[in-house]
Amino acid sequence: MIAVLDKLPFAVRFAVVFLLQAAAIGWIVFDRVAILRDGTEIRLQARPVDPRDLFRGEYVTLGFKVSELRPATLNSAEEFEAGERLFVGLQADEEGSWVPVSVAKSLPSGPAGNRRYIAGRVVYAYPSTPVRESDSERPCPDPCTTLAIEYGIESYFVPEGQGKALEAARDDSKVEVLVAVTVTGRAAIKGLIVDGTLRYEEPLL
Amino acid sequence: MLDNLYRKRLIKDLPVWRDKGWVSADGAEHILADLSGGEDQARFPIVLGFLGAVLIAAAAMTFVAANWEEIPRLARLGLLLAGMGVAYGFAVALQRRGYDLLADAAVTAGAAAFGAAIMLVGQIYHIQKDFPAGVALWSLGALIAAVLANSRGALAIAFAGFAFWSFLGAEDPGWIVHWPSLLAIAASTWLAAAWNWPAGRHLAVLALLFWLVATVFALASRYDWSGHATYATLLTSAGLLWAIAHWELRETPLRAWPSYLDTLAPYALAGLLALLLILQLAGDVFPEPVTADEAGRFLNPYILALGLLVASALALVPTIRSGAFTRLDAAVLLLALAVPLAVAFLADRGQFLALSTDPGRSVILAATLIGIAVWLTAYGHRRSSRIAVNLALIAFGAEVLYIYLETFGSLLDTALFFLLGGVLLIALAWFLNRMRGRLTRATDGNEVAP
Repeated sequence: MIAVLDKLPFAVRFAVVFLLQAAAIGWIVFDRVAILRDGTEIRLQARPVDPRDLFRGEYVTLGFKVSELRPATLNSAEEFEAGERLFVGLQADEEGSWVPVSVAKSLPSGPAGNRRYIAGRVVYAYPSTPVRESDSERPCPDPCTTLAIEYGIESYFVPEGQGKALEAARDDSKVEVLVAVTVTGRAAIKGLIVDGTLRYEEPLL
Repeated sequence: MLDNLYRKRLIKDLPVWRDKGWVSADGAEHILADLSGGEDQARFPIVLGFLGAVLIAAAAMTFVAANWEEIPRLARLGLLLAGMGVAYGFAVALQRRGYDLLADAAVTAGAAAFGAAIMLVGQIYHIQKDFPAGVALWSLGALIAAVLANSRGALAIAFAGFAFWSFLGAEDPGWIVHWPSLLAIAASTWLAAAWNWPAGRHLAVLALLFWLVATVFALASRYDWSGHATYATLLTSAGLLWAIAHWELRETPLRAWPSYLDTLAPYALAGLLALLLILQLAGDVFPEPVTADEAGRFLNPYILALGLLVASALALVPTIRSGAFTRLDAAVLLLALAVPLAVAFLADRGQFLALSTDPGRSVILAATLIGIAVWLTAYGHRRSSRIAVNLALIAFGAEVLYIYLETFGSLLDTALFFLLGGVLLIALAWFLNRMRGRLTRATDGNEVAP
């Protein structure tokens, strides 16, 4: 196979390398732009914590209220295991924050109405203390399975030096993340809202 | 580098040998001419070229990490793409002028810029922190560049990237064993083998070992293995690999593989010795014995390790046949795996506790390591393997230092252990020397200087 390649002129081979690599990058950009442009905007409450990435500099890790769910409290009888994909149904509450209302292994068909679905993956499932019926929550019988879920929107990259300030904001401010979700449940971050005002807004490109 | 040392030594030795009449004057000249291929002088600028490529790569990475707001992000991405283009353009120009290795350095810089561009896109769109898919894409791009542009530097990036991917992938809850990264490393290994590239062999072996360790650690964290069980599993794996590394495959259809096995041998041996030392530390790091649960799940890693021990025994059979190991060698190696395995198992059952409270465990493990180090020096001398001897000495030294720092209960115990060990070793040396003297006298009747 390598012998066949030897017959190609060098300029062509290098051009192929460049075009393949540039196309790969263009494809990720296009994919992300499509989510941001076509997806429905939802707002999720979050708690930022500041670490640092080896390659991409400072970022905050975002922990969402929907990062931990008890399927039983959402009327789901399905058993979930680590590594499985799931779809969480979200609906806006009176303040405009989106809260979980359902969880299922497959994307529910039929009209979504004012509900939107976000795709996630179970990182781990563990039994936690049972919850009795209350005004806010449905009961979660023993063993009350709790899921830690990842949606791929847990990192927010910020310019050097701004991570700590954002982390400090979580104690005395309400941090929300503006997320775009497509009809298939794919999600991308559109912006960051601190105490109701849009602090960071992400352009498409 | 080593060739250079060898030549310097020959330049010193050859005139002496010529004067003694062992080599002809003509022969001495031919030998020297054969060694100085003239490559050494040309190598310096190429080394500089590669260092330059590495610095440019580091610059691209930190540029991305700085997340500088003054330049719009699309412009930053454009800058990196342009950098890629310039690097590949340079590579073509250098290739045309016949500077193959400098062209290789330029491709390496290009492949690094490709990675920086992926990371920048990940940053712009806040794609998750570890971004395993990004690392995989980068490595794949580097592998393609390596194939198309004959670039060893790009292949090195691919090996490092795929190894990192195996680490990220092993943590992924969706995989029990991350096969995609193993396949990718195998593909890169195939390319390095096709080029017959010596440094590539080392990269391949290291990447495969990295995959193995990442996999065992991932299994350990998922199924709650104890520290003892994890390191015992790795120890028996290292033993199995070292045994396999001695297989004689030169007569078989797998003729390209012996050089890979030769490369694997020192790494597997170093791993084996290091794990024997780590097992002793593991008792201090995880002093709590694991309580046996009803399901007996804590047994699973030990069943696996026992399987690896049996596999090592089977793998030793062909090495005894080919003469790489004697029966005694094989027995010593198996003992060096079986004893720590048993100790680790008993430690988890609560029979042996931490080092400070139970000297039994540490005496057995320390004696095992010192025993295998002594055997290894003998083995290394017999097989004229300098690496085996050196590793044995390093392991011996590390063990002595560890014992001294930890002490068995008291300094007095430590002193007793050293004294006993020292007396035993000197007795062994005296015995071996006598045996050798007797043997050499028997064969040629001459006394040989010791």
